[in-house]
Amino acid sequence: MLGTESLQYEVDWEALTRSNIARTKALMDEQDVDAVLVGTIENFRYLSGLPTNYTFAYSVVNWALLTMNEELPHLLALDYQKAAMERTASWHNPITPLPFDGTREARQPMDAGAWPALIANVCREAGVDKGVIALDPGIPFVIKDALVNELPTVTFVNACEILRDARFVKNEEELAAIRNACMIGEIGLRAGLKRIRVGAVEREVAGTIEQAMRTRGAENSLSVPFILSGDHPLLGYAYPSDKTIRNGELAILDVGCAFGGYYSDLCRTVYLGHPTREIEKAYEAMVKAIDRAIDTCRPGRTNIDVYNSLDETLRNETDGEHQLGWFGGHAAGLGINEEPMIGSSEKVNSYTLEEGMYLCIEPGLHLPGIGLMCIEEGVIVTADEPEVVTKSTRDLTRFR
Amino acid sequence: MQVTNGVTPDIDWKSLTQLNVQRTKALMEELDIDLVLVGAIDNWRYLTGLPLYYCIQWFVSNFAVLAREMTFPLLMPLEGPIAQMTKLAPWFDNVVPLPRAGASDAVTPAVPGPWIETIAGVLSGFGQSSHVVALDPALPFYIKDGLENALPRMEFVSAGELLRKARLIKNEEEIKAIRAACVIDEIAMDRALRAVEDGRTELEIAGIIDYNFRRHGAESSSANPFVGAGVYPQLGYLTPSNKVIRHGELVRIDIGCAYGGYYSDFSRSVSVGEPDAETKYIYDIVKTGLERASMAVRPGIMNYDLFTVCDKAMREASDGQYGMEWWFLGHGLGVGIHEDPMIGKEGSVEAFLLEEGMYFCLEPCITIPGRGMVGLEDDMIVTSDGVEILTRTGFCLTMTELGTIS
Repeated sequence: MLGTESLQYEVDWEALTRSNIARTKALMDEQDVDAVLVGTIENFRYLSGLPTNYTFAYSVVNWALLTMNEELPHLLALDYQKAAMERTASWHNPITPLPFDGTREARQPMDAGAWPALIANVCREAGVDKGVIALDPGIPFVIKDALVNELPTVTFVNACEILRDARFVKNEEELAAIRNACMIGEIGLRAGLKRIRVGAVEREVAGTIEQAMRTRGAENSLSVPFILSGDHPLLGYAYPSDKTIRNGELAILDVGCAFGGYYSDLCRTVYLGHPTREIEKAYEAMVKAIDRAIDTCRPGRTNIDVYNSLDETLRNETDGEHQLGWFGGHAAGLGINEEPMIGSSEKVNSYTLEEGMYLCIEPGLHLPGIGLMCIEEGVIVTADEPEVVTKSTRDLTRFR
Repeated sequence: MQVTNGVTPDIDWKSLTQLNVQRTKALMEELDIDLVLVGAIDNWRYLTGLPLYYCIQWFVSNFAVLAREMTFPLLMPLEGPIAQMTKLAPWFDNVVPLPRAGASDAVTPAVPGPWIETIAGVLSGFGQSSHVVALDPALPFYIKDGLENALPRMEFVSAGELLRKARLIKNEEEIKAIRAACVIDEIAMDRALRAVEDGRTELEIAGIIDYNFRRHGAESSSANPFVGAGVYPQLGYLTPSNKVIRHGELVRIDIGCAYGGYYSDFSRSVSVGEPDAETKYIYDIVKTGLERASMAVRPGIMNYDLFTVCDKAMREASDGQYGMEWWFLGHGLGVGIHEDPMIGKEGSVEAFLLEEGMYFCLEPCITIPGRGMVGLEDDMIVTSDGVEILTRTGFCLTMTELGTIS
């Protein structure tokens, strides 16, 4: 399929999907669930390997019903996309069309309309209308309520834990997609670093990054490059703005994109001008902290260990002047923020790290009056050495 | 027929929100609803005028509650930096942040965490008597189930009907945001059309669009910018793709962006190289359909009348050979991308009497086998006596003839 061709890493979408399905079914079996029904962009991708138009308007228009007794899910999709989807992935079962015929299902605000009846039909045909069906947690209540009416002999439960546990660990094909996403993210970052300078406008830098990533095959348009310069009251809650980047400021470039639905997330810091020793020391401490923390990303360790490593190194290297807030990163995959979160033990759920997890470690500091500094790397937990999948230069980039 | 002039949006966001809130409250009164709880991107924006971390992950992640006695809704934004949004909008003085630290609700896949308790706590603060609470229809089922368990004396219904009616008519401040979105769309379209040449890929053109959206102040693109060259979009699935644009192909560009959360949606089609006679002929038919239907827009006619006008105009222009290929001609827009009124064939779409303040696009198209699709689209608002066409890019089949048809 044009546009999601691999940049360097080949992705076998059929193998990726079958592997995800096998993992999900093992968890379904453990929980005595007969079927899982998904309808959100991420979870539909997880169980079908098929892309969706990345927009909230289309956030619930493609459905997959995975049953214990079948190898591939039953698929339902917008009727005018059906033929193209079937051509894209001919290894799938034929797709049941969902009409987009002037009723309200794909509208905002939405209404369940005719779709629950069609989904219910598929459930009946699949023989799961008397069992336990676990639902994608993102399914709107108007649809679930209609499904309950249509299928009174079904017990509906939440599939959140099954999907969370399934998505924790990425298979080899998923990791290949993630590596490609990281590479495209690096391309975007490089374009941003070339564009940024004193007098540049934050939005210009962000647009340059988005253009570079799109041109190389980034799929989505709904994660914004955060170009945040200087220090002002809205720092941390601001889109890249019309603010002009000035001498004497720090600026962060926090970028990421989706390749085949899988996200990268990376961040670098620049200083406009010649940094003071204080700024350099803080930066060196931050880089040391991330490297030590990356080293803790091993099977058997926990997400809390990773956080503690970040926090401890920062404190030690800055004589207590700098420390981390509760947040030091997150996992990613088909979602931008997945569990495990990298945070303190009082603040986040603890998970043991496993081979195949993909973490984004992002220590950040705020220097009052100067700005934010942050570095973020993507790390895959392997059987031995952690694999850093984001390769951009770590140097505190300086501009005169 | 009025043509949009305003390009510098000087939007009074406080007023925009007040007007939306007033409209919503009037409908709450009519429908006997005590509280409205919204959480999806579009409805959140409608009732608060506020942006959020624009990320599909957080499609439902900031909540707002409106009670009939409030002037502005109570906000339940994601905690931390996002709660600073009240600095942008100091008229919100009632804020209860939703936790992010340790909240499994704030990641995907969402696992029920502390949010239900926080939201239930806020709702229960509205009095001991049972209330009718209308919920954003996109709210995940587990939140509704959780709230029903926590608040057994409250009745939870869908706010879909109410919000649909409220959002149908745009106020003057919303229209300013819409005009701005359309202007940004035009700029991106202009740059994109000028970049179309053989040898470029669809993705390169899309990248130019992404840049211009961001550069000129759009908050987001409505979807992946549709850049479809030749017949590939019919065979393929998602555009834009790596497909190389070739001489002789038609390229249809269908893009939209949001300014302040309000969306535009806009298409032009262009030939790579000199188009043949058939293509020029068909282009003219589509253009005629769009122009006639646009000029017919006024309060008092039905939405499906526009379909009839467009279809008839196309048939007249082609001696009956071409008309509307399917039931769909266009759709409403606003904080959403597909809103009421849908514009289409009578019987296929819900009937709406056009009223001042309705906002929609018209997008007729004809597919030329072997060459591609000719699609033309404009955005427009119903005025007191006619229409204001918001998108002004000329109709040109090849870029060398901007503004004319040869």
